[in-house]
Amino acid sequence: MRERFAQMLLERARDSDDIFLITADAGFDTLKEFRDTFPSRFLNIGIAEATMIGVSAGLSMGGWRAVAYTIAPFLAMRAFEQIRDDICYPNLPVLLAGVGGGLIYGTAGATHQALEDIALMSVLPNMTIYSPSDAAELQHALTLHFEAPTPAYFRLARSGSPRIHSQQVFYQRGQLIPMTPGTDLAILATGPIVEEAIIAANLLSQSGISAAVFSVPMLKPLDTDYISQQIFARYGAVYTLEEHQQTGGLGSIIARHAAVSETAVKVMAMGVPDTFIPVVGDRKYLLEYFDLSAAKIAGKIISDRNRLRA
Amino acid sequence: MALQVPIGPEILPRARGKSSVEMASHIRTALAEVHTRGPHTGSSFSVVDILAVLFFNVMRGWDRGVDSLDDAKRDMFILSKGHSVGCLYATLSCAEILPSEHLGLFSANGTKMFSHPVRGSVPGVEVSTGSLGHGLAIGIGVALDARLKQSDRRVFLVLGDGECQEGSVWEAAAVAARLGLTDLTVIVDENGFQDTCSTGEIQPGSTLAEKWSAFGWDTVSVDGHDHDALVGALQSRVRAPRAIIARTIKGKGVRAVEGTVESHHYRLTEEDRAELVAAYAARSAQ
Repeated sequence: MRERFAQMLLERARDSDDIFLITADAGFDTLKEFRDTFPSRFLNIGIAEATMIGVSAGLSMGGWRAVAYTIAPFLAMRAFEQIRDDICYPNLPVLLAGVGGGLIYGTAGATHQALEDIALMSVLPNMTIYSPSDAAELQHALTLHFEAPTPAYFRLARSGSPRIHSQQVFYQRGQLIPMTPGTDLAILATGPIVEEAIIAANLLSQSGISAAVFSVPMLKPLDTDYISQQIFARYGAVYTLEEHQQTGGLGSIIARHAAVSETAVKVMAMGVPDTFIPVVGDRKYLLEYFDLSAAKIAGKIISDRNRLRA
Repeated sequence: MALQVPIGPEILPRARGKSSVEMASHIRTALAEVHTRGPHTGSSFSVVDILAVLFFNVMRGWDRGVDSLDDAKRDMFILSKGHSVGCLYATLSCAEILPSEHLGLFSANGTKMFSHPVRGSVPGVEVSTGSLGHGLAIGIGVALDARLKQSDRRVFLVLGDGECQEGSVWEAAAVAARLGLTDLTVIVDENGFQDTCSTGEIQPGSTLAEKWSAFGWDTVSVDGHDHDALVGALQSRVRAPRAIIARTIKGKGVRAVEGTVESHHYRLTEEDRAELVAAYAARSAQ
């Protein structure tokens, strides 16, 4: 997905000569074409994430559409205060591109994993969060961002992300994308793990359970009326699924909406269970390890329903 | 007994044609109004001469009162040591950009007169600061913007000596030097004190001039209360970003706390205010 991001940005930069891309020494191959095509609108600031954010803010004040790009944990966590004070507080429309949110750097240990970034970004006023599941959702996310720029965090996967939508996709700001229909329960998933949700729904249907799957391409703002009417009003149970700690991400966001709306629907959050990654694992391995693979998801839902019946 | 200090057009004359030294005197008097309301007196009084020189001598585009804000090419000023904002408010008032009646609202409930700069809250305040070590990176972004637009717009920042303990300052300093931003100037208000102690206690034997120079900045040390020296340093030719280490006295002009660590959190008493106003009156009479 990061390659597609770079390509999409390049295309837009051809039409908009005010796009400026800064990286903190990330994107060696990925950003090469942008750098070679628009050298005057590209800056590798070096391993200096906090400075990258400040410089983005200064450029943004001058009217540039600044894009700050690096690996997600170093962007969202190391430079969090700068994002808060220099971007969100003055409400400057900088696009923060965090690569590898989730379990995608699993062999590298916890320092390279952003499993807290949604929690951090979502608590910032003025922040918009885009969490595309594939290139199609990303394309529309960029459209939404550039047509009404805000401080924005893009949670991008790395290479080799699955293709989830077969064609272009459009969604309204803050709304969900229905992926597969169902009646018994809803699975709300965000990011590339939407793929696991879809496969899980297939497995569930073989056990006679009809699970609807929704992709959540934007985590903030969320259209709460949409959630109330399309999700809480229609399904007896809601599961959320994310490559993120169980607390503070999609699960917490949806649970909070449930708590303040008039619904009795229980929200069950599936994510990383409040632990650092304890073993080496590629993404597939870690999804399985944390019970976030399609089979484990389906298994959990089946056993939840059996327990309710018992 | 409260002394009524009239702060208005008759006390803050039009800046045009006035020397920076005279304007510094007006700023100090305006500060008498500001810092009876809120803290960081010492930090405001140490930068009076620096701000007077910048706003009333060196910076372009700030001499048309409120209309200055329509000029997108005006030189940029960033108060990275945001807790000196009292002096910025006083200066903006003397520059007839901030109405002087706002000065008495410093830190007042329901107002926008925050005790650190907040962009968009007060006319003439361009960047929100307060957390130390943020301003320089933002200034780099503005200077880069000017370069991309091939404009001769300059960026001036005031940092604190204590602020230079933050790593983010040096991270940004390295970037600025590498980018060769000769239109970027940092003035370090070297007043020798921070919140809880002297800067020497935290960084003994530190010479800021050596450090900035080592990071590739064109560096000079001056007396931060000497207008001619400041102007000379600000207008020197440089081949790198410019760092001016300005030796100052924290709380200069406030007899009660001049040159002390107590001046950091200090709020002016009515006695202090009366003294400042009397000193101003004496100067005006000369």
